[in-house]
Amino acid sequence: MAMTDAERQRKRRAKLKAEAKKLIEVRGSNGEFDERLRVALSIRKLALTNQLSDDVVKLIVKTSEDVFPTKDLSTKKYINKLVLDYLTKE
Amino acid sequence: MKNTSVFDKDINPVLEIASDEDLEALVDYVKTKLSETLTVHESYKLHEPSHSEYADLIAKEVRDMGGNSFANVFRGGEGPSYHEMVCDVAKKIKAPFNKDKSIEDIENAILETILTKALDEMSDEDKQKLMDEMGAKGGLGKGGIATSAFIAIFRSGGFYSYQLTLIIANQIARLILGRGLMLATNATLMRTASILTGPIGWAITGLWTTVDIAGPAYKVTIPCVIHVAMLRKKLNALQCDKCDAMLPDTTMKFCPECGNKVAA
Repeated sequence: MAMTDAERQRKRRAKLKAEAKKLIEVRGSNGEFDERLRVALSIRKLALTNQLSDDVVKLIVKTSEDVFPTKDLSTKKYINKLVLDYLTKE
Repeated sequence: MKNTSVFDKDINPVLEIASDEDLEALVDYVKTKLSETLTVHESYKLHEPSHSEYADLIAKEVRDMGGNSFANVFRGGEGPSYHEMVCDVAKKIKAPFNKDKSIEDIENAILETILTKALDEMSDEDKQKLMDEMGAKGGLGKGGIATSAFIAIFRSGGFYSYQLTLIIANQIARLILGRGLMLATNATLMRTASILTGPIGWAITGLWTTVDIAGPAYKVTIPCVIHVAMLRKKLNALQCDKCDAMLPDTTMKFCPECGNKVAA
């Protein structure tokens, strides 16, 4: 049976929402056994305690722009800002 | 995202890297509506006019404006997706679009429709003047410049496409806010945006009158969508590393504003 307009719209909203918010499955209820989280938090700890040079922080920030490849310049700038804030601000 | 967990991939990245000046008009558009909740937020009261401090709230507010207040409650307290909002605006101004296309394509369809209407109203002299202000090099035919020539420039993207978008956004700001945009951008760019207030202004006023009668909700959503489209184009264009001025093309070796060497 064909979908009604309301059903179609609900389906589309759910699709768009899923695109915008993708869940990341982690190991352990708080991610305590997840190596990716541990790497991210360790790098942050090192950066905030000045154990990483500015060049290394810059390199990490630059690399993060293309971890999920995108051609969109504005998205790259946004990721750059997010990661830089994460590594330099408490 | 500091103030809200509401996130939309089509609007948040753009607003969160925009400057305070870029967000100024957007905040003013939102403030024209009585039902807005931005100005009562703690973060707004604390940081205004540093709009970038609460860019996520502005994004949420813009989306809330795109939906019915009661329907928003059933959507989990947030407005429709920004994609849906842009599709609604495209439908309203009768722009040809495909809802499965990217947000940028739909925004371009909206801008193209407005641009075509505006250019059709313009005389050949006005079109020539616009072309000159945009920095056209070489002689152009005396038979006048067809609207399709501008549309081709717009479709080619980059700096010139942004220039045309800025003209539209500037005119809409004049209509709604009673003043043009105040962007910290190249001086030549703002001059181009302020010329031809006549013909482009009339076309946009004409378009506006038809929309205005149809419903007050679009009084905010249309200017917001056009402003966000302009910001997206601006942020996607090449910029000087030193002074953030926009670079007209990729072949430039030095920034025209500060003379800084441009990275190849």
